[in-house]
Amino acid sequence: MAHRNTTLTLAAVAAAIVIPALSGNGYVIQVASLAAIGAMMAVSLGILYGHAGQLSFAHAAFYGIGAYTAVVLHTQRGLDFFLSLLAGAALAGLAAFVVGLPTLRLRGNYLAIATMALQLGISEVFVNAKITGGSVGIFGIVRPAVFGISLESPAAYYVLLALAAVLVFALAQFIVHSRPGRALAAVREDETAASVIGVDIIRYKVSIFTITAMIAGLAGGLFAYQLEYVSPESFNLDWSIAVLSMVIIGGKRSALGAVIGAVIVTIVTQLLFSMGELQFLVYGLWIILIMLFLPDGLVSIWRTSYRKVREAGS
Amino acid sequence: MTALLSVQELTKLFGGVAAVDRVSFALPKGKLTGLIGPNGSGKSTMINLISGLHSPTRGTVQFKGQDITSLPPHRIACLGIARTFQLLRLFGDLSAFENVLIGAHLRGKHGFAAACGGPLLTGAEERRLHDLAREALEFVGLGPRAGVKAKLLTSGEGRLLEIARAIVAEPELVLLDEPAAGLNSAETGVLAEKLLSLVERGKTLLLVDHHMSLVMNVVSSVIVLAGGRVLTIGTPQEVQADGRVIESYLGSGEIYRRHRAKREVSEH
Amino acid sequence: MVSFVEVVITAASFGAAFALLALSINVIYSTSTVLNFAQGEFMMLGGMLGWAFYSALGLPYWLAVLLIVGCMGLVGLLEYSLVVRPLLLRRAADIAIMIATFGAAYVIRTATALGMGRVERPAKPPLGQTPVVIGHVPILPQSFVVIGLTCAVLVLAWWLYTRTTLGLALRAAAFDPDGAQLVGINVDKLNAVTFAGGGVLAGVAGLLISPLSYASPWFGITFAISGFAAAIVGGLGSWPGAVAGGIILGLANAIMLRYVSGQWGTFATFALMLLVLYVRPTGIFGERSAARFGTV
Repeated sequence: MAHRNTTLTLAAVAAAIVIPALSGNGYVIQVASLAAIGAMMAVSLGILYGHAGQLSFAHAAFYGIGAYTAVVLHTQRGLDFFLSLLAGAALAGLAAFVVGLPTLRLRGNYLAIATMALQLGISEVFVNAKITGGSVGIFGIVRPAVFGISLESPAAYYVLLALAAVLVFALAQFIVHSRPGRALAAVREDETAASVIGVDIIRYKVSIFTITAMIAGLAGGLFAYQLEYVSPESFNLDWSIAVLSMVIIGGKRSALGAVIGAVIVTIVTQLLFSMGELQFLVYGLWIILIMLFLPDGLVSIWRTSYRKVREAGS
Repeated sequence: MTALLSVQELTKLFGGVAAVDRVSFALPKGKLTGLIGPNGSGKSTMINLISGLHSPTRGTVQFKGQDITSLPPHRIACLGIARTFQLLRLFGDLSAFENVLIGAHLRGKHGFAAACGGPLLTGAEERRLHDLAREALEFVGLGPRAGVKAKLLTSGEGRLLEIARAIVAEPELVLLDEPAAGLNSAETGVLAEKLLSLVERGKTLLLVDHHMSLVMNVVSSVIVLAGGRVLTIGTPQEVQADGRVIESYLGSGEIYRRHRAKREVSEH
Repeated sequence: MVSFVEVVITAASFGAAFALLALSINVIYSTSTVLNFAQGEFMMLGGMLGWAFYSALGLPYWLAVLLIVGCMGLVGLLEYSLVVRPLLLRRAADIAIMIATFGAAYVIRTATALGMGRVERPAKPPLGQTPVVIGHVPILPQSFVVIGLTCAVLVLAWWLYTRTTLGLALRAAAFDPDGAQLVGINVDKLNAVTFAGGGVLAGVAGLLISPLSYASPWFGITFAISGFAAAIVGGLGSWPGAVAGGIILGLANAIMLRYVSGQWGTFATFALMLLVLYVRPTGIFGERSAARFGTV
C-alpha cells in the first residue's frame, strides 16, 4: 500500500512537471509557473504559521528581498544565476533574523499587526530605494542558461520552477518530521510546556522565521526571472494575504493542501486578470466566500467525507 | 548523603504578598521527597521557581553545586530537571507517542541544518529517539494508547503521559506537581509503584501532593509548607506525629473534613 | 521654536485622528475580539464621503457629518452581518476572520475607487484655509476642528461607555462574553452595535483628517497600519491606550514629516511599534486583564 502510494505520488509529480512543460500552451505554462512559485510560498508559510503557530503577514517582503537581490546580483552585476538566487535567499533570511528577534517575542494579534507593519515598511523601502528602481522597478531581466541549458523559453524555466517547488516540498516534510520540527509543534501547542522540556522557544521561533523567509527569498528570486521584471506591486501586503489564503484553503497544516491552495488561488487570480478594474472587487468577494465556506480548508472536507465513508463501511 | 538540589532563603512576592517566604531545604540524591501543605501554601510556586517558570524575588537555587537561580526554563531542563504540571499541559493535538517523543528533545542533537538532509542524516538518531519514547510510554503503561491524541485521553492517562514526557529525557531530578490529583485509588496505586521504580533507577524525585496517603507511603522524607514557609521537615512518621502539621491542615479545613467524614462513616 | 510648535500642532491633529481610529478598532475588538482590517478603509471612505458631500455636492457641513455618521454606521453593520457574523457563528478561527476582513477591505476600496474615481481629491476644510496666527505660529483652522471634534467624540464615547446601560453591557461583554450571555446580554446584537460604532468613529476620523492632506481611495491601508499600530502600542482593547497610542504615533509621524521625509513613515511606525512593544509586549495599557475596561 505504502509502496503504491509512493509510486502514485512520483507519477503525479512527474505529470505535474511534464504535462504543462510539453503542452506548448503559453497560458498554461504561465499559470503553472506562478502556481509553482505560489506553492513554494504557501508551503513555507504553512510551516511558519500552520506548524509553528507564528502568524506572519510579512512573507511577501522577504520574497521581494530575494527577488531584488537576485536581479541586482545576476542581471546587473553578472554574478552566477544560482549564486544570486542563494544570495537572495540568504539576504531575506538575514533580514528575517534581524527583525525576528524583537518581533517574535510578540504573540497572537500583536504578532499579526507587527508583521503587517513590517510588510508595509519593507514595501516602502522597495518603493523609495534607488537600488530597487523605485516604484518603476527593474526591467530587462533575461532568463539565464544553466549548465549549458538555456532557460529562456517559459517551458524550460517552468521545469526549473517545478523542480524547486519539489525541493521545497521535500525540505518542508523533512523539517516538520524532525527533532526541531517537533520542537516547533510543541511551541505551537504550549510554550510553557515546551520550555520545561528544554526547547529554547525564542531560538526556535527565530530559526523557523529565518528559514521560511529564506524559502520565500528563493521563490522571489525565481519569480523575478519568470516575470522578467520586478516592481514593488509584486511584493506588497496583497501577496502576503494571498499566500495566507492559500495556506488556509489547503488546511494550514498540510503541505499537500498548501500546494493545492496555491494552484486554486493562482488559477482564480489569473482568471480575474481579464476583469480589469473589477478584479479586486471580485477578488475581495472570493476571499470572503472562501473564508465563509471553507474556514478550515479543503482538507476538512476530505477528512469529513473520509470519516463518513469509514463509518458507512464499518 | 549529598544534596542534589538545595534551596536557600527562597522568596517570591506576588504584588507584595509572599507566596513563598524564605524557604530553605535540600533534596538528597536518589531519594523521593514529599512536599506537602494545605492549598495556597506555596507548593506549586516552589515547583515553578525551581523549574524557572517564575524567578524568585530573593534567595538562590543550587543544582549539583551550580547556581541556577533565574535561569530560563529550557536551560534548567538542559541541566537535568524535569517537571509535570498540576493542570495538565499536554500537547493536546498531538498523539500520546508524539508528546513523549517531543519530551525526548534533549536526548537528540540534530538541528535544522541536519533536518534538511532528511532521513539520510537524521535516521539513526530518530530511531533512537523513537525507541526511547516507546520505552517511556510502556513504562507508564500507555503503550496501547500511543496513537491517541492527548486531548482524548482520560485524566488519569493524562497524568501518566505527563510523567512519561518528563522522564523520557532521563533527567536527574523530576518535580511532580500533584500527579495523583483526580486519580482513583487503583490508579494512585499504580502511580506509587511507578514512582518507587523510578527511585530504584536512581532518580531523585520531589513529589508535591496533598493526597497524604500517597506521600506518606512512598517518600523517605517530607517537607511541610504552610503559608509559604517551611513548617517542618522530617520522616513521614515524624511529620504525622507533629501537631502543628495537623493544625495547619485544620486551618484550611482539609483534615477536619476528612476526619469528620470518617467519623460519620463509623457512626452509621 | 516656531517650527516646534508647528510640529506639536500637526502631531496633535494626526494623533487625534489616529486615536479615533484606534478607538474604533478597540470598540470592535473588545466585545468580539475581531481584528477588523477593513477599518482603514472605513476611515478612507469617511474621507471620500466627506469630499463628496461637502466639497463636491456643497451640502452644509453639519448635514455632511450626519450623512457620514449614517452611511458609515450602515457600512459597519453590513460588514458585520455579511462577513463577520456568519464566521463568528461558525466559530471560525481568528485568522479566517482576519483574512475575510481583508476581503471586505478589498471590496470597499475597489467599490470606492470605481464609484468615486481613482484620483486624490482635495477635501475642503469647513473653516477655510486661512491660517490663524497665534504668537507668530500660523495654524490651519482644520487643526482646531480635528482636535476639538475628536475631544468631543471621546467625551461622548466615554459617557456612553460609563454612564449608560448600553455601555455597561459592552463592558460586561468585553470582560466575559460567555458570562454576559448567561445574564441575558445579547452579544450578537452588541457586536452589531460595535461594528456600526466602529464604522462611525473611523469614518469621522477620515472626514476630519482628509482636509489636512487629501481624500483618496488608496489611503485605507496606510490608515489601517497607523490605527492598528496606535491600538497595539496603547494596548489592544484599552481606551486610554488608544488615545495614548494615537498621540505617540501622531508625534512620530509629525517629526518624520518635518525633519526626515514623508517617504519613510511606515517604516518609522514599525520601528516605533517594536520599540514600545519590546519594553511592554502587550502595549502601554494592555492586558491588565480584569482592570482593562474599568477606567477610562
